[in-house]
Amino acid sequence: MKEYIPQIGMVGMSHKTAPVETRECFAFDTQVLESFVNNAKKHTIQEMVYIATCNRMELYFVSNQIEEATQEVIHLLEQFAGLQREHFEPVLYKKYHKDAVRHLLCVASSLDSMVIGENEIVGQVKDWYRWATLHETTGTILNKLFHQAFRTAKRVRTQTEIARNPLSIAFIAVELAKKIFEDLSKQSVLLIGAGEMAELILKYLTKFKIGRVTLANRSLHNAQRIASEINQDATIITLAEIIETIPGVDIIISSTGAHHYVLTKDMIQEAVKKRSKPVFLIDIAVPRNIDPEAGDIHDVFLYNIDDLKSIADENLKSRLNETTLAYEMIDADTEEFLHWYESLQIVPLIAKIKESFETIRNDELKKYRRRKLKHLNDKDFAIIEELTQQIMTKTLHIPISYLKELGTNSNSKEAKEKTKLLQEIFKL
Amino acid sequence: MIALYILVLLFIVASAYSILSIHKDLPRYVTATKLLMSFILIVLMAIGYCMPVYIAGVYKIHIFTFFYLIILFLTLLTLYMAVSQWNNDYRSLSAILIPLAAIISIISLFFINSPRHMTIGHNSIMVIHIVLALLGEVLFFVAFASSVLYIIVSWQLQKKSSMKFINRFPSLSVLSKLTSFSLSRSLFFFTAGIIIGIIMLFQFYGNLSSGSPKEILMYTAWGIIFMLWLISRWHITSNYYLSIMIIVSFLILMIVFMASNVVITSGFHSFR
Repeated sequence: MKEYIPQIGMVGMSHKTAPVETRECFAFDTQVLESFVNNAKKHTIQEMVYIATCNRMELYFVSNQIEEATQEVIHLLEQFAGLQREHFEPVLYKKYHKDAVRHLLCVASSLDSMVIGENEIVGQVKDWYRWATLHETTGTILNKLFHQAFRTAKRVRTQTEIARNPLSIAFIAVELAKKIFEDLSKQSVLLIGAGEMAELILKYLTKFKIGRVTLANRSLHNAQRIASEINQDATIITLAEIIETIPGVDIIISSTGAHHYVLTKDMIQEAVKKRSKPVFLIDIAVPRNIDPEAGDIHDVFLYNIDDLKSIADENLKSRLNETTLAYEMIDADTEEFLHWYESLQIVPLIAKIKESFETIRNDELKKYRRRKLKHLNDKDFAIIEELTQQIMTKTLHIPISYLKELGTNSNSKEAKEKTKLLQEIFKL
Repeated sequence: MIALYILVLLFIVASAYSILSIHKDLPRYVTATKLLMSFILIVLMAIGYCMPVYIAGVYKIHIFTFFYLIILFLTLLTLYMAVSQWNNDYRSLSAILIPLAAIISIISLFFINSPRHMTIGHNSIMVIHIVLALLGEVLFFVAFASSVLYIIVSWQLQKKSSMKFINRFPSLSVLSKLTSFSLSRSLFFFTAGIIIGIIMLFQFYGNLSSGSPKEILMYTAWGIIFMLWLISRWHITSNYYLSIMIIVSFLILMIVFMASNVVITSGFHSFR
């Protein structure tokens, strides 16, 4: 039965197996890739999808001679990457059938990513799959496999916490701000000083359309540079003007090189008295710029760099804990896909049975048309043709349904025996 | 009687599920809570159908009916939340409102067979007055629930708890909006209830006030809610302190309100 159905295979390399110098040789541009795909089509490969991201290059393919096809793919990679086989083959992984299916599901669900749970990978896989469909390199099996992978990725993302809690410090700060204010577009932010991380947080906040931005900096030039980088109107003030400004701002990010507290508890206390809304203070500076005691005031939420880092660590731990559940989902979906895949094995047999019945029907019709039914006009004969077609379809309906059912478990001994018997009965 | 015990049991299970939905963070607990609350509503409707209110051409409200109405309105409110703009915050709000309803349902068990009742007369104006006052009260329950949640989220943020836990609750801004929303609606229904009460008194007794202890308590409750609404409206204090004020006011008012209905047996519209 096996000879009816092509097999699934994959070869690839990732950040886990190959250094960037090797991976970058296999990041083909679309022109090279078109040529690569055209070459692959000439060989035993029936379907193919190429995936390349900054962390991986993988090729999924379908072929009747899977081992030969693997060698062809490796040969093509050698040819197009301009690297000798011995230089990259040791870092190349090859997976077949269930392993290849499971691997793709893991990749799309970002379980194989450098940052587990990151959201970009599924989009990248979708882009490459779209490219493959546009270039007509996919067929029934890879289409089904990739759609299964996208479904699994969605399931893992929505039913586990793997992608829920952010890992980047800047993003955590924004998430906390949203937990306090919900709608950031109505809030205002004050950035005191400048620093890579503080600027990054500000950029994230502007991405979420933060309402008003105020920049307090010793250097006007620095403040103007930040204002132009965030691409949003900003009020620039001096450090001396901070005290008058803080009662009116909702988020304060501080990152100055000062060796004393730029914002003391008293200053914050006074500011809070003049407002009813909470205030979110992010102290990125080392040494700290905001008196830690200010965090004890009600409706004042003070987070320093260590607080944000410890949340990031905890989020990472929670993501890793969720991987068990995610792998369970992937295993279940792999089995579901393989169930469908196994059922394909029966398809050629069904086709052959139908073909055999159709041949008999056509031959008999031709015979009768020449002799006993020659008095019928074309219209009446068409009705006879339709009638025989209907009889054949209805007669075959139950056995074909039975075969399809058998196909879902086509590897079992019973299924194999029954299929063999059918082949013998119909001399297929 | 059996239906009432089933109701209390269902409330206890629903409370457990609503708390578990926060604790375990699993959506199936939220679904189970919603299903249980729908079932509770059916049981409540059945109890309500069998409960005599209009006896011998006269409206009579038994002391049990008073508890029943609070439970019914709380159930309707939690179900409304599940289908309204507050659906995202249903999980955390229901974890407070459902256990509160469960407590009231347990208390109500002590009054099932109590003959104490309030005779309202032939007209339905008193029914409207009671319904409006109870609606105001139930909305004050929501203000209480959102204030409790505000304090919890505020503490968690100050304690720098894990985001996994904090994410189970609504944002502070949403909670403060819900507090203002429920306070203003509570005030509206209380005010409407009081106005209807005054009209009714004037119509039937020619007075604007009966001077009964329950009436004084009602005015006090209205005054407190009005004061809280003013604080919220004019941002007189921070949301944190407003939440504390609401919690304290709610607890005091509820204890006095429940006690006055149970203890006071004389005066106009008391359960005698």
